[in-house]
Amino acid sequence: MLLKIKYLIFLILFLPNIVTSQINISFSAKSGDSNLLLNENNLILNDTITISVIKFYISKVNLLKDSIVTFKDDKLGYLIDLSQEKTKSINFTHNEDVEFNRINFQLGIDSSTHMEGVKGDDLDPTNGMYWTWKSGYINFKMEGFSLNCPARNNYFQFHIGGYQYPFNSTQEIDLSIKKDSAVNIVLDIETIFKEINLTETYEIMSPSQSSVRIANLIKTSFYIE
Amino acid sequence: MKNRLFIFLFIVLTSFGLYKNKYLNYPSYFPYTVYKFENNILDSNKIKLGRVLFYDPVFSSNNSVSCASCHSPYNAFSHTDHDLSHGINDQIGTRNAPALFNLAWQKDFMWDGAINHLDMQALAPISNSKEMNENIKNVVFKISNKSLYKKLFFKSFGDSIISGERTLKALAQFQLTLISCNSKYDKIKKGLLEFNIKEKRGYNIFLKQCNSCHTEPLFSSYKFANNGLPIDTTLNDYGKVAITMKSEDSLLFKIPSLRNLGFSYPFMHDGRFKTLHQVINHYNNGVIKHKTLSSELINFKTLKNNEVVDLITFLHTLNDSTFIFNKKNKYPIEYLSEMKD
Repeated sequence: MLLKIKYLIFLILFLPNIVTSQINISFSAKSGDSNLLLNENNLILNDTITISVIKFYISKVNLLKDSIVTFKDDKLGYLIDLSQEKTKSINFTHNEDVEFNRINFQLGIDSSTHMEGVKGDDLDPTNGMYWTWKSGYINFKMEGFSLNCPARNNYFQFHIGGYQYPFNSTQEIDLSIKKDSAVNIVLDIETIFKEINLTETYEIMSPSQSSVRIANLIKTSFYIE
Repeated sequence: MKNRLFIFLFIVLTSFGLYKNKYLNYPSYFPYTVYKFENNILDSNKIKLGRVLFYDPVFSSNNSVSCASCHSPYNAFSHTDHDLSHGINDQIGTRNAPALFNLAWQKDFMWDGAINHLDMQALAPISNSKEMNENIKNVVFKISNKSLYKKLFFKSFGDSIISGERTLKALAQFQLTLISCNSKYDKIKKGLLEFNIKEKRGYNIFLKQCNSCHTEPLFSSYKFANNGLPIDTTLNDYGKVAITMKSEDSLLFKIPSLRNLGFSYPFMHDGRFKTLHQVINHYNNGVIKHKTLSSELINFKTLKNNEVVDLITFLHTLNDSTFIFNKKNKYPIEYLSEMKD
């Protein structure tokens, strides 16, 4: 009881001073200079490609002032699905006096979360982002069509995951930002297709050398608009 | 404040594996549990829900196969009479369904260790096209339309939201309560009975020849090993290497417990042996010296006929009929009519 009163006094004294502010982080995809349209033909490096799925996890979001972490988000992970408007942006509430000029986050779910058993919300296995034949989250999923792709129905599938050495695909992404402005993080898929030849590489659905290679490509594909 | 102290103590106790729960009864000579109960605290309603789910064929795409189809309580939750287990539309898989008990002491699941946590294990058979050929999203959708589950989820979680997480946690809870610790061996350990002469001789052979992999009192180290079985060329199953891609894992399979062998034949990952005699014959003179052969088997001392008999006599003291016939683990007959709705 006494403790509760102390809390109350504390709140009354200090509450007016704690002013919060929000930062909005949104995600979108582009191919070079043009916006990527899902389920439509996009001309990507002289190939006509239809992207039907881009889904990925981000986790461990930090805001930093130079090299000092000034805001830490503790949610286990956010599932960004570019076909679902409401998943494409995240709001973080931080104290007004928090300074930052960088954001960093992990693309994917880290290995310690992988060892803790089933999780809910964005990490619930009903989201289709968890492998069933071998434990592990799919950190990044991209699927689509290209006539150059020799797979069945010309459908390519990249399911990039893996949390154990030597095929750990989780990537740390670090970008500069400006305070007081919306942050739009762009995934430039041209960067990925520059390095992948869809006539040769079109189905990756397990942790391997190739999935690590693609994970490294994805890491370099993010920038802030 | 009291609450905080409780949570603190709980975390401390569970992190040392000292968590005791009235639904988790095991003897003091058992080691610490591996399962982290702080993320899934056992509760009678959740265990009950898990039990109903375990016996419900709703997990398969045509509602014909339940977990219990291949993990029958009468066979220590394994599948007898078939070397390889069969699933949906009478399709035959590539492995022998393992017995389920003492799962709280196990870190890796499946014969090749493909699954890293008990909570996640059910996803594998649900999605396998030869087992249940379903997906967890659709299972959740199907059970969300059943009034029985709305009721049971409400009792368990305080609201009737049905998610993949809750479904898998409840299934894990029921499986965690499948504890086998009441065999003759256990009664001897507790000082209630004694081995007869043959069993005692068999026990001594076991300690010398088997215990390093089938470590008592769980009768498995639950590690992975190559026990020298010749490769079955109709299956070409190389075990753990398919998961880890490391050559040193070629032909390694999860070491099974020796408890309840009397109920859970056939033996080995592909069910190739029907009798314990065949198994021991393999160790006596059938071991193939692959590169990855378990070092324990390189100098395995051949057992004489009378020693084989003694060893098998001992192994029978590990059969736990109290576990096999435990009503709490059986088909939840009281929900039968509601399950069919």
